[in-house]
Amino acid sequence: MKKLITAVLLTTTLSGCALIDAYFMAKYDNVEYALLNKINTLSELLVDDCKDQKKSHSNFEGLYWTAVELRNFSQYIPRNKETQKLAVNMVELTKQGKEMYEKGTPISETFCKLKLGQINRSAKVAQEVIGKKPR
Amino acid sequence: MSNLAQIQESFEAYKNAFEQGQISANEYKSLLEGLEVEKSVTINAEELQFKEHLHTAISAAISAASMLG
Repeated sequence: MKKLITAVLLTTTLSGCALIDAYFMAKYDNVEYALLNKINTLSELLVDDCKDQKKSHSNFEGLYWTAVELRNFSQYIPRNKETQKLAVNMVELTKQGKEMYEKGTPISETFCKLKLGQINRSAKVAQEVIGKKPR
Repeated sequence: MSNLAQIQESFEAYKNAFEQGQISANEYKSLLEGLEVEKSVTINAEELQFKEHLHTAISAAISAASMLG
């Protein structure tokens, strides 16, 4: 009954488009979830490589490729706008890290750890919400 | 800790790291740009979460209406 009241209240305050959009939203997708989990896990573990400039450069490239794969995968799924935006965010964040290593100047271990922290926190936030999409 | 509180804490941490010479000006700039993206992630995640809640509520209402009918 509580849910019914909530639904009635929502239907009276939201536009028809918003309701239709929510009801037919893209369902949970294993591939999207797995790619985010990969970014989450790698960004957690790769902190150990931050002392090694060459390894870190390659690690950031790998994270960027995974984020691009997520963006490309999610982009043509209908009614998947929010996930597409999150994927674009992940591409931007990993690209920022990758580009720092491409400048050719030495990159500090602190930067490496802090940037991986940003990627890790963002991947976790996105993974949690994408994991709750309707089945 | 909320996501936005975490962003605020990170901002302070980056500022300290820069002031103590642990990161360069370019690295600091990149981290600040990253915070902007983190803020956007939080907003986009909230939008998706809202839609998920709405989906659940509509589905429940349809089920309830089906039982009544």
